[in-house]
Amino acid sequence: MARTNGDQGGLAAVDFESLVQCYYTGLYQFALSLSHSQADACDLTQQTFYLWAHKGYQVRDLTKVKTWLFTTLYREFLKTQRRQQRFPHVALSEVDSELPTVPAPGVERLDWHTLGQCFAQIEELYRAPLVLFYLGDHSYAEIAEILAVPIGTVMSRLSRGRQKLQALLVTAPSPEVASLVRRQAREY
Amino acid sequence: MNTEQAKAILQHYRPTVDAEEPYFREALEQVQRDPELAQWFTEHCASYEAVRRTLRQTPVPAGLYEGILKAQARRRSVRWWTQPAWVAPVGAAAVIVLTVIGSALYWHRSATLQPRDFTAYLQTITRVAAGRYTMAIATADHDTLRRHLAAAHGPADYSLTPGLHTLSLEGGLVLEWFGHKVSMLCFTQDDKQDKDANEDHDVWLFVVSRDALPDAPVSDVPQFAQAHGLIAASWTRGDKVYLLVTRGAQAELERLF
Repeated sequence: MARTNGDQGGLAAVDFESLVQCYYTGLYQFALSLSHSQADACDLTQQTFYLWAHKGYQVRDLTKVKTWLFTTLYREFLKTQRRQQRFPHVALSEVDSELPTVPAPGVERLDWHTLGQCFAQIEELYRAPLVLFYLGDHSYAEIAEILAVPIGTVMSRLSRGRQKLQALLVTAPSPEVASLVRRQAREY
Repeated sequence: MNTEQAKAILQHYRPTVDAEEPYFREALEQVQRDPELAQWFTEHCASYEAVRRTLRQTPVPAGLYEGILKAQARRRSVRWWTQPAWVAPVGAAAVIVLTVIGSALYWHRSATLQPRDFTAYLQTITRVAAGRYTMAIATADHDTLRRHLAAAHGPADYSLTPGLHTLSLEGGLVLEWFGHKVSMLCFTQDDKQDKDANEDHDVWLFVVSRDALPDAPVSDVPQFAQAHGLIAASWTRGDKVYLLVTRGAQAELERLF
C-alpha cells in the first residue's frame, strides 16, 4: 500500500481511496458492534478516516496502518463513552474453569442481526476484544495494541466474552423467529 | 499437556489467523494424539467460522464509502481539477528546489551560528512541537515505545509525571541536539472532545541527557516558559532534563504534575 497523506491534495487521492476501500467495511463492522447504532458506527468510521487524513502521515511503518485505524476508532468510541473508570484486569487463571466447552446449538444458522443483538448484550469490556477476535483481521499482539492492554488481558477478556456469547446464543431466537420479531417490531 | 490444558489454549485458536502462531503449536500437536480433543477442536473451529462468517456479513450502509471520500475531498483546500495540468508538477518541482536551497542555507547557518544553550534548546524544541514532525512509531503501549527509543539510542529510562499517566500515548521519535539524542513522546488528552482541532490536545515530553545542556535549570521543580505559541515546563531529575510542552495556558501543564 502506498503512503498516504490527505493534506497533500490530489496526489494522495488514489492512496486514500485504496485505504478506505481496504478497511472501511471491517472498521464499520467493528464500530457497529461497539455502538449498536448504525448512525454512530458511520460517524466513527468517518471520523477514523478524517483523523487518518489529518494525522496519518505520522505513521511511518505502513504495516501499522490497519492497527492504527482500528486503534483510532476504538479510542474515538471510548471518548464518546466518556468512560472514567479503569478497566479491571482479569487473570486467565480465574476463568479457566469457566471455559466454553461446546459450541452453542444452531450457531451455523445464525444471522448477523441476531449476532449483533447478542454482542450488544455483552459489556464493552469483553465485546471489543470479542469482535476483533471474530473479525479475524488481527493477530493477538495487534488486538492488544488496539485495546492498549497486555495480551494476557486480551485472552482473559476473550474467555469471559466467549462464555457470555455462548450463553446468549443458546437462548437467541432462530433466524426465522428473529426475522418475525423484527417484522412485528416494524409493523408496530 | 493434558486435554483440558490444550482446550484452554485452543479456545483462542482461529483457524484463519493463528495457524502459524507458536503459542498454539504444542496444543495443536496434542489434537493429533487425542481423539476427544480432536472432536472438541473440530466443533470449536466450526463454531468460530460460523460466527466469523456471520459477523462479516453485517451489511455496510449504502453511501458510506462515497461519504468518506466526499468528506475527504471537501477538506482539500486546493482544487486540483480546476488547475491547468502543468501547475501541479511545476509547483512540486519549485517546492523541492526551494526546500533544498532553504535547507542548505539553514543547516549552514545553524552549524555556524546556532547557540547550544538551554534557551536555544527550548526554542528549537518548541518549534519542532509547533511544526510538522513524523512519529517514528505510533503506539499506545509505553513498553513498546521505550524499546523503540532505546533501539534508536534515545533516552528510554525516563520517568513520567503522574498526570502524564492519565493521557493517551500516541507514539514518539528520537531527535538530535548537537550530537545528543532527544526522546520525544507524543500524548493526547482524551478528555477534550473538539474534533476540529485535535492537535490542540497534544502534549509532548522531550527527554535529553543532562550532559547536553549544562546550563539547564537543576531544580526538579518545573519552570514555565512560552515559545512559539506553546507553553513549556522544564525540570531536571537525575541525569535527565525534561521539557513538557502543550498549547494553551500554564494551568494545562500544571495539572500534569
